[in-house]
Amino acid sequence: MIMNGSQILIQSLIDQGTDTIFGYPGGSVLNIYDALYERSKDIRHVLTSHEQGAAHAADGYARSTGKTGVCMATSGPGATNLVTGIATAYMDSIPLVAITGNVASDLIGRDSFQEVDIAGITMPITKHNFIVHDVKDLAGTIRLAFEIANSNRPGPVLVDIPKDITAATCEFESLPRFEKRPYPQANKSQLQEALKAIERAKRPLIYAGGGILSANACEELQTYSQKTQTPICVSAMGLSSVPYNYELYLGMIGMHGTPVSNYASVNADLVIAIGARFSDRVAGNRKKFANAATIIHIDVDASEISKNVSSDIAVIGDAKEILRYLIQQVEEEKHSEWRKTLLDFQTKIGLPQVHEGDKVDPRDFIYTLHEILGDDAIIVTDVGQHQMITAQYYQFFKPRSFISSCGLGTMGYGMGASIGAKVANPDRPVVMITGDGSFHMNMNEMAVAVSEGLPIIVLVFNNAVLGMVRQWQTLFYGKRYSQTSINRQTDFVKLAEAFGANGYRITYRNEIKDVLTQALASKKPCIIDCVIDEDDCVYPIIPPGKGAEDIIYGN
Amino acid sequence: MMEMKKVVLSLLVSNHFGVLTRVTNLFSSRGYNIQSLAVGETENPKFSRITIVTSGDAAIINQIKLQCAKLEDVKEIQEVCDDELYMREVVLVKVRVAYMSKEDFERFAQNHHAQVRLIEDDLWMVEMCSNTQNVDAFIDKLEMFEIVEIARTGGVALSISTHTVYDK
Repeated sequence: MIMNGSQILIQSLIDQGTDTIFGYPGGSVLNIYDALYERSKDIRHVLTSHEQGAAHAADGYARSTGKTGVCMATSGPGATNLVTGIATAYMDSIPLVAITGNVASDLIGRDSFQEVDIAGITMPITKHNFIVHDVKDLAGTIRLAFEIANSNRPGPVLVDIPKDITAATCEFESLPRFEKRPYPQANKSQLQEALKAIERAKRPLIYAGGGILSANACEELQTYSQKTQTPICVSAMGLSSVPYNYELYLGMIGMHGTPVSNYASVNADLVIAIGARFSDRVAGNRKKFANAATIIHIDVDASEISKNVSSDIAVIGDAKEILRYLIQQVEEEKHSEWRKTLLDFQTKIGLPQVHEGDKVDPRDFIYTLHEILGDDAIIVTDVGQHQMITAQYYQFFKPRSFISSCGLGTMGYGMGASIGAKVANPDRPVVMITGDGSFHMNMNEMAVAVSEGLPIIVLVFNNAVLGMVRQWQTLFYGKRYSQTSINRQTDFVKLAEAFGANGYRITYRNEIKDVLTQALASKKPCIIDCVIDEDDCVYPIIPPGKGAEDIIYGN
Repeated sequence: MMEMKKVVLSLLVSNHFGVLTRVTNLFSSRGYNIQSLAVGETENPKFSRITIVTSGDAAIINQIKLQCAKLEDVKEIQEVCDDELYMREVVLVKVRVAYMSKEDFERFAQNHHAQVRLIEDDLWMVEMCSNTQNVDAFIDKLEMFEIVEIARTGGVALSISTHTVYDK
């Protein structure tokens, strides 16, 4: 059938499994939006307030489902507005396909209106990108973009399409759904080495990252841990891969990790890192991290091996397959002494207790939130103190229920991401936990939650300061609070109403349950403004560049 | 500290525009060093070969290879080891030769396996193709004249062996 580039694009997206596009129209994508108009029954388009929101929404959609997120923007500023969202997805290895229009081929390179070299700009923050020069290549390019985004270590791919290509016609035939490329095959001798190290180990520890979720290996992880009685700690990206109440789960490791996770990393004689990359937020001092341990690193990306912390045994391949193999081969273990050591430590030193008194302690709020929402909810965060407190205290039970910008640390991520998560999971509660600093960045997306009828609950921990930066100023800069007392006069309740959402304010602890219950029952987008103490710090903290021995437990 | 070493990498890449940018972008964004770089088509028009001379300790060299291998357009990557290294670079030097006769300068060039061509009066174009050390030494020698301008390529390399970048 003869079709134009725009029709081919939409059909190709559908052929590759896309049911939703997050985007924003503009001059260079007019033809594409015209084609979308015809196909509105077959594919949903969510119009965001800003292209950054569209990129984050596609990311939230991908994280909450494991499917590919798709976003679209026009040339120039539309394309550059996607950049932060693409970089966010890149850092956390999220499969994303970003479509940008560009000016027509004969206008490229002439500094035309709304022209920008988006392929050049996104080169270091995409797995790969394409400029489509011929309409005949378009369908194949879209399929390849999905294949690259999803193969091995996932990540974003951008496809830039000049306007004339969206109008040009050619013969089109649907291509089959992309297939993931075969995973690298784990090296047999390294697997044998790993098994020997596992057999020798008296104090083993699993350090699991986001790769467990993208490999869909949560069950295998737990089975392995159970059979060998190996405790598990996770990176922030690994949160929700292990149910909170699992007896061998130690919580998050790293800068704001649980005391016991960090203690375990210092005392372990074997660390098995799976789908994790020893970032500086986990291994603050990469020379000292888990020094007493043999390190087995299991990852699908060979370039992660010994990038930050050098490992003794490297197994490159699919985490799911490798875990299955290990489960078959390993002997059952007890490790009772090691477990008792950790348990004793955990009883002695846990996460900071909830503060007493009438005022709201966000930790307490996070507990109550889980109590009211149950295990099914998806928790999205922005970046800062609220994010770390959520990571520490929220009780995650289902994979992919924690959605957060962990690698890039993008303030303003949560609003777009929660829209993507809610669109993909209309029947699950979606709560976006944010701070007043982060929320001010992209709260414009609240308008989208209202117009799309997405009952997202936005919980603003409002301390009138940029809490995390201020906390570093408190601890490391002699309390010189440079530009962190933001002193906005925004009334979040009125703001909610202005958007057409419900607004609530919580000042005292005893109001939490009622307000949460009301907000949930309203089935409308809600903003809950929750007043908290500006001096509250996130503890424990391992100061930047330091090792787990230098942990500060705080008050 | 691990020992720093110089390494010659031969990359077989897709022959379309933007590929060189992707490779050099990777080096700059990850802070790897490029001592020299040369790129050209291969016997197969679908591929280009990029020869990169870089340096670092063993861990960094390993990272460079693995990171390059992840680029969609990089088809194969080979570290050409020292005892198999056949590398050549070209230098062009414009030089003014005031105190030597035409015949003497031509002989001087011949002794150094260089080609020369008179541009006008006492201004010569000198051309040499050799390994890095010889090119360096030759430029040093030319210092006795007045060097007006130099253009020098990065090295291109192949391994002196039966195996090729295609073998893997």
